[in-house]
Amino acid sequence: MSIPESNGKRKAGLGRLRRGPRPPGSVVVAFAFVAVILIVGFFGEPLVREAARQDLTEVSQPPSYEHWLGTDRFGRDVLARMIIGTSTALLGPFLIAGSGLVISALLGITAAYLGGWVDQVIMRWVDFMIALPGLLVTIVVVSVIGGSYGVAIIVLSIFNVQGDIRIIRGAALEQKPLPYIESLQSLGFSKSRIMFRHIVPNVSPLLVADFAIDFSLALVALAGLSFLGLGSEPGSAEWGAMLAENQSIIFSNAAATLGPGFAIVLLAVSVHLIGDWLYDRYSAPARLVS
Amino acid sequence: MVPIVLFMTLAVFLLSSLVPGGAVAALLEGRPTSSAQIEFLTAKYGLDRPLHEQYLSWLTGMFRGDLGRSFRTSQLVTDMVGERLGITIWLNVMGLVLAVAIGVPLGVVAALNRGSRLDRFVVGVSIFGSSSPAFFVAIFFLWLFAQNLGWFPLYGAGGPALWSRLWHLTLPGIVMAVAPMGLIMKVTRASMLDEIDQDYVAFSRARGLRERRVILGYGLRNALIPILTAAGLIFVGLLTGTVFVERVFGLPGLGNMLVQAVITSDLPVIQGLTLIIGTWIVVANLIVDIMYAVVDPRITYDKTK
Repeated sequence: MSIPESNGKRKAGLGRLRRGPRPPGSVVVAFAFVAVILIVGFFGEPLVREAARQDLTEVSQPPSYEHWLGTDRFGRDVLARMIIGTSTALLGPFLIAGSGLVISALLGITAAYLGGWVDQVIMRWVDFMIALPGLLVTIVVVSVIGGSYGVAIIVLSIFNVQGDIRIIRGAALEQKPLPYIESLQSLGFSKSRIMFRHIVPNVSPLLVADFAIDFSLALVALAGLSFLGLGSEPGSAEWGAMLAENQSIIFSNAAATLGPGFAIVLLAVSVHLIGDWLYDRYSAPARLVS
Repeated sequence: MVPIVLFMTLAVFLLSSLVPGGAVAALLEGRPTSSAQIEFLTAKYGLDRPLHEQYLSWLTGMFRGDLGRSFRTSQLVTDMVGERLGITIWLNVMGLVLAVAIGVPLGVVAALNRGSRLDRFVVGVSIFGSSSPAFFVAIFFLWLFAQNLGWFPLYGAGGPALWSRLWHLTLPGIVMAVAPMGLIMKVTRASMLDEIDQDYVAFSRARGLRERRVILGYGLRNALIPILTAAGLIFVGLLTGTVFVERVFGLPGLGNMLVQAVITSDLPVIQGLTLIIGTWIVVANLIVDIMYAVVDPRITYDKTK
């Protein structure tokens, strides 16, 4: 069980993840769901490649024993295609959230620790970008330079990072007046060493929480782009694209369009729950009495 | 804020010059052509002039209310926007109004009954709502309410009669409200929780004020600032939602126009819509800033600044 903190002050750091109260049931379910999706994403594709073949004798069938979510306009098994699309669904958000983690750690901590004009420049930029509707701008940019999955990921990464920078800067500002920073300074450690070897571990739970939230937002945004036909290659097994193309057979097989939709929402909600839970545990200490 | 709008249009303009083959290639979309035709098109749309000249002529046109003509349909962009603006504004306003009208009371009630079943329900709804993309909610509601229950029409914006219009736009409007409602509930709940722990709330109760007055007159009034900030973000975010909702329901609004323009590389239309999106953001932020001062009299906008 949990080991109480001796001085009541919160001690950050990833090592603390293992202590503290147990996560609520919803978070446990979320973890389990994410684990299943990860396994499916890594190992699922070879198992179902056969079922995802075209079969024009079985077009737009409703769910049945052979086809759990029915078939699409080309007689392809919808569930099999969803499983094939899982790795794509995971990769894009992973890259976007990962870049958000690295950039927000770099810029957020730099802004907080150095302060002054560096802080000013970074935060003005953040304020400006946050006011823009990211997905809409992405739609325009992707369309103008020619849509592809790669471009979509880069542009979404640029728009995703602002919120993280704000949060990490705030957390780093809390660290700055703590005694350990002062002692490091008096030991003559370089600024970059203090920032990235000492502050980073102390804000790392927040970085992980941000990663989770970003992941769920990016998942939804990328699916949206594919839904509009801007993200993925036409015809590829991608959840958002499947949702869009199967909308036309909603009368004969509603599961073909609702299935991928639920996959997106459930994965997004699960990752979001995990992120919220991490965030609540490590960012607002006083108010969260369980 | 005005420079931001101009910056956005300039950015789109510069990006469009990066299109492989330039705007003419976009115009031809890969059809076989003679060089004479290319020259004709280049001259017709003034694409042979230097970039800054093209941008300046677009800019001066804009101030005269001329956004150019669509590459695709040769219609005036302003006419196209005029035909479609009504639906988009209706959807956005309805989404925002519904989100606030349902989200704020539920958020307040959840905060007052913290930890209750209702509170957990509200938290759950807000998590699902704010994580559900508009395109999925749209298809799901379409399937549930229009196809299975038959309460609403399936497709299109209805006839020209007002009643038919409203009837067709009700379900899309509700879809627009789902995601922002989740966010509004979440923010309201958090903000109210902060306020009801404050001393002034306990003190007002001790003074014997009625509970309703304490909660609505004092607590909620103070909790409104974060809610307003969220509402501002939502008003901008709803624009993205419109694109998906109009697409799913087949509504002829600005969102559908944008997707159409994007798919066909219709640069003048994209450019014109960017201007409108930019203006929309500026106006939304302006309204929120004004509302801040209305809600909290301590906030003033000093003219001497």
